[in-house]
Amino acid sequence: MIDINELVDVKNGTQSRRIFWERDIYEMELERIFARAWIFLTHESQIPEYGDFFVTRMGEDEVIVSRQKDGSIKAFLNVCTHRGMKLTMAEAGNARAFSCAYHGWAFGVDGELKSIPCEKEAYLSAIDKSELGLSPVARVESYKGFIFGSMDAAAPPLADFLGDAAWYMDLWAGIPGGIEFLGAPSRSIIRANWKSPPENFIGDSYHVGWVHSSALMAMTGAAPPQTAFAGEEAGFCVTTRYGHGMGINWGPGPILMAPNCPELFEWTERRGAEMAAIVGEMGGKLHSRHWDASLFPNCSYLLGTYVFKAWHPVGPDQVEILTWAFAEKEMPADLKRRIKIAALRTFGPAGILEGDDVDAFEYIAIPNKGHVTRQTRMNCQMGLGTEFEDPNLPGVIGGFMSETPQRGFYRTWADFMSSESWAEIEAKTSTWKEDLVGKKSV
Amino acid sequence: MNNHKPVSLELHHEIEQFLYREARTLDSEGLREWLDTMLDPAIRYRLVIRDERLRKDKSPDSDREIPVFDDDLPILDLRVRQFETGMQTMLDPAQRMFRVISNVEASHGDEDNEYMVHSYGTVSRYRRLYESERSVYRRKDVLRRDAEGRLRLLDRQIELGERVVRNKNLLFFL
Repeated sequence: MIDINELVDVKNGTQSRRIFWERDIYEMELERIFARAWIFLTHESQIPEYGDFFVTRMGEDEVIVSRQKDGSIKAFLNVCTHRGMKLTMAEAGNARAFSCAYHGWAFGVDGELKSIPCEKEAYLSAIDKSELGLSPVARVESYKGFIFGSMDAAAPPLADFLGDAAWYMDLWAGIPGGIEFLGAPSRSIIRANWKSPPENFIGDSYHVGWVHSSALMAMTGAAPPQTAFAGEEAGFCVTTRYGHGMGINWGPGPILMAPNCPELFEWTERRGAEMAAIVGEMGGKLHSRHWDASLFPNCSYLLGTYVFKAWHPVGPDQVEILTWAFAEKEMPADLKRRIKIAALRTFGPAGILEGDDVDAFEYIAIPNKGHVTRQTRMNCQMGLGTEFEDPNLPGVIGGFMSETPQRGFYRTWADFMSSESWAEIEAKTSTWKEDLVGKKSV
Repeated sequence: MNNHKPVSLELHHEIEQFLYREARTLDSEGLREWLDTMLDPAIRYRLVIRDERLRKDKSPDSDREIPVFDDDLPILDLRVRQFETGMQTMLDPAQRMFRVISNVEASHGDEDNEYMVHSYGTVSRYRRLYESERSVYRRKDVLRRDAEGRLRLLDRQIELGERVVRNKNLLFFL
């Protein structure tokens, strides 16, 4: 019996190490989180034309995301409905049909079974093709160009799931012309649990001045003390109903892009001023700052560093990292080219900063092979009980150097893992804000 | 112009020795020495991974190529400075690297003092008692002879065998 309350102590901000290692907990995550939550699939700019497709994963289920004739988007399991072979072996492309390599069953981009070889001769026409289409992902929706899918038809609308995190996304993804992903993602597999990277990107300003000190020294000429990333002057962080969170630093957004894209400072300041007219003064101000953010359960972005990440679980002890650079559609082609290079240089497979993080993620997972080690707990109590509401900022706010977003991530993990249905999750989280902020007066 | 003819046996030997010395310099963490003595100031150092699509796919390279490295000298210097801080906990204890270079073909380049060189390599990395990783790659280099008569690397394009990087990182030079 898996006792979720024991695994994650929401009130006291601790987690059992077992959730970063054990197979039965992992299988439950695939069912209760990855087959239920809205999972990031791809960005609309990756499949702009009819027939364009991108193959990705929801948990360990591989899915084809394809652009339909009418411009809408559908997603299906990437397996043939005949003898079950994986259908397309390409990771992306353009197709009018997906033909199975084994016997040749062919499916349209709408998922319908179009043709069966030897249908008359072998099946004697006794087969109903209309019942043998590809298994659809129950829900596919897109928000500001970001496409998500849910395997659970009962999921609330994507915009509701994003909730307060959508307000923050609007500040940068809602720019005139929109956002564009710059080509294919880099992919790497590391030996870590899938929760460690989003837990880091969701708002870990604490590690920046420590594990990244060598990178900051090389990039900026000085390694700021860890305290430089604490306090109101440094920034703030956010948590939301369904565990999405972010840390927003008051420093200029494109700081890590400076060597190759110096014009981004002026670009983002100008955009911020334009956006202020649309999203208000605070929103405009936030636009040009540096953010780290994760959307529960497994995607993250860095605003200012132009990086978007998906973290696909590969068993309890490995993660496949997909990294895209992104840009504003209206940026000049040469700037986009340099952004792609500079973004991967920070957080790609040879990323100056990513290398430090990956070493930490791996050595959080590896010690869990020890039975006794695994019974010990992880501490996530920084700033516990100091969360507050701000009339200008949606969500619940915490100190920039606090573990408020991480606690929100694991609170949501516990909400999903302990619930039988979306209805139960919605009921459990309906008073999340009062529950969280109420602590302050205790 | 040299019509890209194969180089003489003697030149071939000199080029091979350059590549071997470079591998040994990098293996022994001589990153500053590599920058100062083996790179041309106009170096362009690239490692590109391509996505996997069907053969008939017509997408432009810019959609398919992922520039894991596309560095000039100032950026390579930045990467080396990070190493020189001595603050990278990731590299302490030191990792041990072994670059094996093979399949060297060399021909004359576009200019009289330039050579085009193809080679294959494997790099193995051992660290933290239990970690062992390997990458296989091939390279297209342009070497240029400097005013003092020494070969220097002017352009390097590295192609990695694996689409999905299994190494924990690619934070090393190939």
